[in-house]
Amino acid sequence: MTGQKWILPSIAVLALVLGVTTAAYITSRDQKIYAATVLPNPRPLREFELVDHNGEPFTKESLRGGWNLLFFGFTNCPDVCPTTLHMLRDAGDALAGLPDEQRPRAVFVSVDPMRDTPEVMFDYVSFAPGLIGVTGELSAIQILTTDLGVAVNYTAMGDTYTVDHTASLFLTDPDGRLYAIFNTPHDGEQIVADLRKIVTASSR
Amino acid sequence: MNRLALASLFGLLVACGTTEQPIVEDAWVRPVRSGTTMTAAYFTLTNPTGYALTLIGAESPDFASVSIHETTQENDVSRMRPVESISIDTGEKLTFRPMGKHLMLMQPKGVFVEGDVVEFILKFDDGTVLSFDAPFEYR
Repeated sequence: MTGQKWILPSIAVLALVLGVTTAAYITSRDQKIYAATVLPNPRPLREFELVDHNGEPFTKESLRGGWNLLFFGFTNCPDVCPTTLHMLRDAGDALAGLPDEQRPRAVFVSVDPMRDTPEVMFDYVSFAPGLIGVTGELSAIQILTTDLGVAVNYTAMGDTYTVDHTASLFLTDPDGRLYAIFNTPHDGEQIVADLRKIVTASSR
Repeated sequence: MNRLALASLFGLLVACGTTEQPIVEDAWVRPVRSGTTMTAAYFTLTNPTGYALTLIGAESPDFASVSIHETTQENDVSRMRPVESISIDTGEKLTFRPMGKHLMLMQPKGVFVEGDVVEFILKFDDGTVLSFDAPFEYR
């Protein structure tokens, strides 16, 4: 008789443990982040003053109020930049159903402002609706590259030059802080899945 | 022409037929973006010749400058550099793909749209010259 006394409670405890374990498993699986490195604490950025492809100011304030996905590159870049921007355009299409406040905006920041004037950027971003092209004084761009940890190196190539640059994607939150980083190589589907989880989970 | 000569000619043709050329497949060119004067071409290159080859150059009548390039990633930094030559073993298949090996194309000699076809020539160290066409495509 004493044996039977603890059988029912044991089953109840076992069921509870299993239930909680299963719930935790399902939750972790649903929230699994594939490609992003989410910062434990979003990192604030310094003030900066740049211009967008329409010649309008693009500042730290421009990052507020929504999610932004920043990519650094240059227009005289035949391989990495178009490949990545093409992927970003497809990602934008995949996330088009999200409400405005959740849908990340893709921002292409030039690290070659000597060649990439706002006019050049205007032509360059025209292939992807919604893509913002940003350029400006090199010193202002360096505020952003330094704060985000973007490496930039100018290298002579024939009678011109090429620019080595970090090809990661940087997600800023609606407070304009660095929220997550997507390192290379980029997988468009994983990035879309992660972005969807991040922007819909966050109630910021 | 007698039978012997015909047979010899036939033998010669068969011999020529077995001399295989490198093969280019799945070639495409990313359309030149407005505001820029450069782009890249991608393809797979197979060497069934029975001996190692070295790719030493490329040309196109549609671009003033064509060069072999390779993008590499190190600590998330992308670097693109010209490559003097690329050797390809017999039986080997090289893939020229985005974020990897590619032909860098500069100064287009015209305005091209998606679907237009570019002619290329690949030059190898043994004197082999291989021509192929590649369409402008968004991929």
